[in-house]
Amino acid sequence: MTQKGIHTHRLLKEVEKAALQHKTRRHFLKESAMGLGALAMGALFPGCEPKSSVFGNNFFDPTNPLAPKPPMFPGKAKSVIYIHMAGAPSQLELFSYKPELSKLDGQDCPPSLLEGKKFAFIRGVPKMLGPQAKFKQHGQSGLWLSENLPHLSTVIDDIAILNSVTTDQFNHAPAQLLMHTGTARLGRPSLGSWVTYGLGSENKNLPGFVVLTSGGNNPDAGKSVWGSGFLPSVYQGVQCRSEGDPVLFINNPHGMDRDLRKASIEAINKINQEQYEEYKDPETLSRIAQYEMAYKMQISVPEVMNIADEPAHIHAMYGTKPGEANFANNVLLARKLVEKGVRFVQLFDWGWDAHGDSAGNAVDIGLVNKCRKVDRPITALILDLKQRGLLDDTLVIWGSEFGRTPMMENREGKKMPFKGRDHHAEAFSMWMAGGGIKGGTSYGETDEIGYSAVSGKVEAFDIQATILNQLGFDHEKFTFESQGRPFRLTDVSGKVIHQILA
Amino acid sequence: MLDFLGRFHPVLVHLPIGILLLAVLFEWFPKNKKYKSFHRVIPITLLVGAMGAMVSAVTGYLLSQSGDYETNLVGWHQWIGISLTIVAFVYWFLKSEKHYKPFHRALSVIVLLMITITGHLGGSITHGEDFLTAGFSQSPSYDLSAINLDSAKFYDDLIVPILEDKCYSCHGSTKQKGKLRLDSRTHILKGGKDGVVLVAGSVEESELIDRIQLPREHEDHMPPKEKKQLTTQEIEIINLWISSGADFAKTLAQAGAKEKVATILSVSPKASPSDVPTDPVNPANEEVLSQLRKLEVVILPLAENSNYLNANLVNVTNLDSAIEMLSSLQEQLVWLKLSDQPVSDKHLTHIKSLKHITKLWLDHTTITDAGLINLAELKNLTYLNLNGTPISASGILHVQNLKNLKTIYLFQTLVTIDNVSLLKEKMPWAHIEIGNYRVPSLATDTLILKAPLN
Repeated sequence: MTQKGIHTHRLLKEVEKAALQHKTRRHFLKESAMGLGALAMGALFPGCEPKSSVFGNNFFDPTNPLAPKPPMFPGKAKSVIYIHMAGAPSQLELFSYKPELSKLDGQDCPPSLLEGKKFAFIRGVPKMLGPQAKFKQHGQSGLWLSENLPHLSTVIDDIAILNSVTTDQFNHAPAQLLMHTGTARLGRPSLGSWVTYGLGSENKNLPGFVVLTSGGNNPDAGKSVWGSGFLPSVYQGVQCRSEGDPVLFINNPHGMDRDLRKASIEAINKINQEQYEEYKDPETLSRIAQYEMAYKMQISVPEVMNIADEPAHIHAMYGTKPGEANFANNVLLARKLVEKGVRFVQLFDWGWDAHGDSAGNAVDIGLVNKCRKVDRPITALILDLKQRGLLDDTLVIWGSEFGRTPMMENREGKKMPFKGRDHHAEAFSMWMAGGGIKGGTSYGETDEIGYSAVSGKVEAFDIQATILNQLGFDHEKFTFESQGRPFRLTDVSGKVIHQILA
Repeated sequence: MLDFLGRFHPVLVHLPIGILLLAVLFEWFPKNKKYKSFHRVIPITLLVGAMGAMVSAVTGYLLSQSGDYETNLVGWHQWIGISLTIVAFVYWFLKSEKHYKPFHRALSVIVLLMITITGHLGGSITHGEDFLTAGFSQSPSYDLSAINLDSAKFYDDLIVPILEDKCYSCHGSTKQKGKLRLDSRTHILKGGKDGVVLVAGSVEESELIDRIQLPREHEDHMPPKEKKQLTTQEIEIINLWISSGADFAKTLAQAGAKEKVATILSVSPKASPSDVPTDPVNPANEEVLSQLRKLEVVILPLAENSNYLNANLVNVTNLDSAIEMLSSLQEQLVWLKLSDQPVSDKHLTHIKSLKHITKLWLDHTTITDAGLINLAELKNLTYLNLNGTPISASGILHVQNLKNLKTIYLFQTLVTIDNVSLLKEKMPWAHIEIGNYRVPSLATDTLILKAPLN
């Protein structure tokens, strides 16, 4: 045999041997001794694997990502209306009755409240600011509520107030992100996205997660606050408008009729389908589904978003004015959307940042005017959901990103032109209603000036855990795998607030 | 001081274990030229190991005097440990003097066995006897909500399982941290190092509950912050037990705590609402389900592991076939939503047989009073929504015998406020909701405050 022949022969042998390693039983057993052992170990030691639940895996059908899914356990709520007052209303003028604080009005803030603390704007020693509203007890529950919310006080026995909500963020954007996405930084899915991912949407003609904003601005955290983060993009909130077209560019452009639109969408979907056959990327299927849904929504969304057809007594109840962009219209829309089966409606109302730098931002002027704009619609919402049989399975949440200080703001150490309060992370109030919440309850107490939580302290994670619990999810098991590890909305925290559950 | 030295025992024991094991290992190396040097270091390894064992034995004895540990477990650990020290010295002596060579390997096996046994016993003292096998046994599942409240004994059936799950591992038969044992009546009443922990009837004076309720970060909080914590429910139960007199023999009823315990347990997240049946049921026919899905019926289990079904016909266009087919799901179907669909009385005849239905939405349909007779036998109905239909009070009389009905929604129907009192008389258990709420106009509603002029 020639040198070259030997060489070729050896090479062939080596290839053969390599192939045999994959084939023979002996090799299989030898090579897999460790692997089999590991498998056996896995079977021997239960408890390391999470209990099998589809919610522990990334679970959605890319051809129909909004297909309805059952919850982990039967939930009391099926839909959510989350009303967020962006800017942070003062708990001391609304829910938190602090007679002791009025006695301190105008005095210097004691150093014990300032030592080691940071404030967004307060510098030096501010003056204390007594409550700028009168409080009264209401309803059978006898809960305290200020004169700024005369209508809400009539339905106090339907709501549960949380008085010791705390956060660790004192700037608007990060605090809003924490409240809605479980982290103060960008990039995580919002509560509405999680819920839509987990439960899907029962009405195939409407989006699962709708966002409505009012007050002239979007919340400071921007659209990330209803973003889908690492969840598939189809679960992000769909922002609608109550003035003009409900969704921008929803009408066909001039010269294009519905048949032509249909034909072009069919053509696009056909091309996408071919693309999918070639690359098998599930996102392509989502894209096809989204085009089809958008086509259907061109009819269904303007219909449900039209409040002009509502009877006069409903308009009188909510204080709505069709055609305008305002909070009341958004609240009525929220009821209509939930009635039609939309899973999650997120409302933001901007303009609650009462620093005292202008009359509109004064706790005794601008805040009062703001309250008058929301008091009637939120009261009407509770009553309307109740008479429609929707309050049983619709969870309503009213809140904000943080609260306000018992001290008067003194920006840069100077006296402000109006009475205002600075951002306050240590104690503020929120309330929930419907969807299995025990009405007429309050949970949590703050100290006698409303500075910090004394008992019943809850944070964003606890509120998120409670919302998921009411929808039928164990927040600790409801995960989505991204970047190699499972993520939870509540990260590593969160306790369901059982004290406010019916 | 002696106590302080004793606390070095858990750290020091690892040295002789490792060193003696190394000597055993060298002993079993082949006795050829290649491994000669290993055999040469055996005597010095054994000497260091034996001295380490002696120091461990002394510190161990000091630690056992602190009294935090169960005597009978310590006993075996102590005596085998001391024997091991002696055997190690004997082994070293024979090895260095090269006496009785054939016995060296036998001695090494004895040393190995003694290390294993005394090490295991030591581990059991520190981590608890079930530490090693904890992975095999299922978690100590006790289910407070499964307790029969009528016959349950307060201490035996409620308090013991909680203490067992959360406290016994440090305050039980294996360990008595702070000289406290909680695993029997006598021990609990005896208290610990700092005195009595339980004062019957006084939650404030009972350190047992006080420590549990301290903030988790507090130094004295129990269980220690890295251990499994008590749930709010468990804390409330212990609180109630103490305030009701901390009796060790009485049943819940005798202690007058039955109702209160029932309330505490009812806030459990797993407690199912009554509109969710708990009896087991066979899964629905897959064939029927897939046909219904083809008709665009949203049909889902109530929960991921439930066989009960929830149907929503919001997307349906072929209503007749869909409703007809639903009747073959009479065992499983519990929630049915027919809202906003042209449902008429003839459709209701198919609903008649759906005996497990608890929630039924017929709002904004075209049903009439006569059709409601088909609902008369739906005994499990708790929720009935008839909003926006031409139903009058006489129609409601068809369902007046449904004792489980909690709410009937009759907003935008022909039922008037005068009818409500009549219906209430017939069905005092049901809430009749006719709505028509108004939010009154107040002078302040339209008033806009402005900054004072000055």
